[in-house]
Amino acid sequence: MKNVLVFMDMSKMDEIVLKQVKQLERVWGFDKICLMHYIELQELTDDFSTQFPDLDKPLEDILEDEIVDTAMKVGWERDDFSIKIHRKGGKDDLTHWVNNSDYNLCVFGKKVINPGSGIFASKIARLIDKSILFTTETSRPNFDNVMLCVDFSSYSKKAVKFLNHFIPDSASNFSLFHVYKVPAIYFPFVKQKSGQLVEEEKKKAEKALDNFREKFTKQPKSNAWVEFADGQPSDKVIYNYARTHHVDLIVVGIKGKSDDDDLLIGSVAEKLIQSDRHVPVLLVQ
Amino acid sequence: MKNKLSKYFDVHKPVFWPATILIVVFIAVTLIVGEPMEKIFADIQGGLSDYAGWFFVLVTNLFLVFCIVIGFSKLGKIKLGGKDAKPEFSTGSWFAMLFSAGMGIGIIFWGVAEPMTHFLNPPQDVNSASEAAENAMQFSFLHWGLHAWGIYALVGLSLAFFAFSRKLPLTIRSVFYPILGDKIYGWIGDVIDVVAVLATLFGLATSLGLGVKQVNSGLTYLFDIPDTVTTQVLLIGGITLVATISVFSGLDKGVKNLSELNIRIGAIFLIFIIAVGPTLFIFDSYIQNLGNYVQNFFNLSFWTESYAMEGEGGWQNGWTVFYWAWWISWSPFVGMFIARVSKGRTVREFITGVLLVPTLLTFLWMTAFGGTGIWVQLNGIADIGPDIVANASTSLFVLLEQFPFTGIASGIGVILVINFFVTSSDSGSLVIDSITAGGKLDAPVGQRIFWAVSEGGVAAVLLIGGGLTALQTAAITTGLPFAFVLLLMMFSLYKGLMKEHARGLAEDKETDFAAYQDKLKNVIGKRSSKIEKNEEG
Repeated sequence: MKNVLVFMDMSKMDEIVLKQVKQLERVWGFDKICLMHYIELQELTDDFSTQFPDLDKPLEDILEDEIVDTAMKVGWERDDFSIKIHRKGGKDDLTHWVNNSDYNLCVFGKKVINPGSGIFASKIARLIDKSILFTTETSRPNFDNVMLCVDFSSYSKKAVKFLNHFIPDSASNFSLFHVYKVPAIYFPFVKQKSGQLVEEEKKKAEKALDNFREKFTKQPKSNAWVEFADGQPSDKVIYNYARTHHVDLIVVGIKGKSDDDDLLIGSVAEKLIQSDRHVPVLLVQ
Repeated sequence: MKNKLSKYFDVHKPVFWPATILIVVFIAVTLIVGEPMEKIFADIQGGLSDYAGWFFVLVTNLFLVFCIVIGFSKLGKIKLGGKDAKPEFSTGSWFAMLFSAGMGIGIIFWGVAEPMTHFLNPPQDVNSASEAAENAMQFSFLHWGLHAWGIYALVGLSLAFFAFSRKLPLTIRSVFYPILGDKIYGWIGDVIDVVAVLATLFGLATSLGLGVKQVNSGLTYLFDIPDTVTTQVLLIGGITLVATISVFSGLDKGVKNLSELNIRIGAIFLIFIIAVGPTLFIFDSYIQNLGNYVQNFFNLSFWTESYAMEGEGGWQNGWTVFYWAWWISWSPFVGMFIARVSKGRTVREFITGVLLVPTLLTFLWMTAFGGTGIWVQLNGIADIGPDIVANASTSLFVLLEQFPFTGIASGIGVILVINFFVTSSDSGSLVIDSITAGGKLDAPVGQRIFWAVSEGGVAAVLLIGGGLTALQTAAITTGLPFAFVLLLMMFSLYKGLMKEHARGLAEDKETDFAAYQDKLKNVIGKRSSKIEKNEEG
């Protein structure tokens, strides 16, 4: 089952998102696609209804038409997708609906250049417990190179399972990536991060990643890279690596090793979906 | 045929059948084995409370501390049912309902018997009669006080939170969502619910058994009807039948009125004893007992009778351990009730209300009834002690004899207990029903009757199989596995609340409504111009 729920925000961004989803569908193959818009205003303000006194159709229908128009414009067929306009009950109701639906991947457009705060996307992303793909308008509509970031936590295992399910065997170039660090506890004793120590940690990391690959991935020949953090935060290392190695999609577990209950999204995932990052990110629940 | 049946039965099979089969097996074994069963019950009770006594003492303290910590941490601000939920009941009537949760068969049965028994056989070393009296009241308070309500608060809060805020079905398995995820709908969830059903059923049967013993004693007192197990079984049959008929004929409202009536009778009863009894003494000692309870709280809560001499001891097994297990075993029953009336309350309100309101009322009841009993004994007005120790279920009537209007008061006492029996049996079956139907609230009536009859049946069989010991064994045996469920529940609730807290922070982020409104205007504007163009064309 690969059911995809695409959030439309009724801006220019929608076209870009739809193009990318279309491309993704070609490589990954989806069973069901629904284009969804959530009307954020619970009651339309007076100002709004005086300005448009004689709407001949309910707002829901108008928005639906608009979504259909946009989809057609970028080359979708009408029977490729269904549409859902959600209005009642506020965000609580929306998240409840999404969480209880059979969609297992949600797609949001993440704005880097186009105006719009993107608060809605980042808020909803925290509230729903489905895997979420954030695309950016600067990314190519292309998902050939997929990179999974592994920290060997249970979330990494979930992420690789998700990919095994979603990505057909031969579809994408699939690689594993792990950022290793030298445990801070060594420093008082070793004084400096000696090359030897880093080398040892690297070997350990490579071995662990190899094991992980053999155990969990469908593509045992996929690439596996490790990179030394060298004092930088993991998210930065991941992002820089992705930018310089033409990675089209970064995949991470929604949380990592430090599975804090009062965090909805782990710190690495959080930073990767910040609005100034250009590479699409898939957060796996 | 199937449709016709499902009109009366709409069950979640993997819970309903294992629970039913286990109960039937239990009843069958007890009846077939017969006489020797009494010894078996006693052995089980002895063994379990010898070896698991410390465990019960530990976990009840843990549950209470957990509730207080949760209630007064940042998590206390979380509202049950979401940020915008409004309380369904006014604070006044919510208090009244919590009061009514605190009233029950147990308190009427033990109200006189427990303080009196401790007074005559002090659990700890005492030097004088007045010290014995204080000690007796302290232990009664311990057993009926904050610890009991800590257990109920934990279960009630978990149920309310996951049902109202997470919108999961109102059943015990839902509470484990943060740990198990969707597996709660699988076999693990079924096992949890089966344990919950058995615990509730046996916990309830214990109460019903105690209640019917007391009704019997009352009738013996009033009409000289023989006080035997046969009478008790007949009484269970009769009262269950009345309860069943009232459910079947759709007299739900009748039952509701009945339970409201019950609370009123109970209140009048309490006022009566305060008025005709030693009024000033009751108020005096209420204050003193509260002070002693607070003062000795930690000493009593963690006391495990460790330094009793070999061969002495054993007091705690029959009392504290039994109570802790009993409260744990029927916590789904009370928990479900307090959950259902608490939508829209904050966690902090919930904890404070549930811990304090029923506790203070129960303490007053204990002081009024048990304290008065001690007063009668202490002042040499009458020697009622031996009768009470010989048969706890007569204690209320023995006490009432010392005061005016004995006949009427005893009659009211009997009616009160019968009434509680009917309403407990009815609401108990509602709870079990809801668990075995996968969290549905409006499960068909046929099922409720089935469970009402099962509760009566189990209570009767326990009485036949070994009287009070069997009742206590039932509570302890089902309480133990359920205590583990509650430990997990604590962890799960904590996880769930932490996540809810984080979600609350995320939701609070401002939404840019103005920008969104502009976007909508844009879409509508585009459309209008399109229509105009078409019209022109």
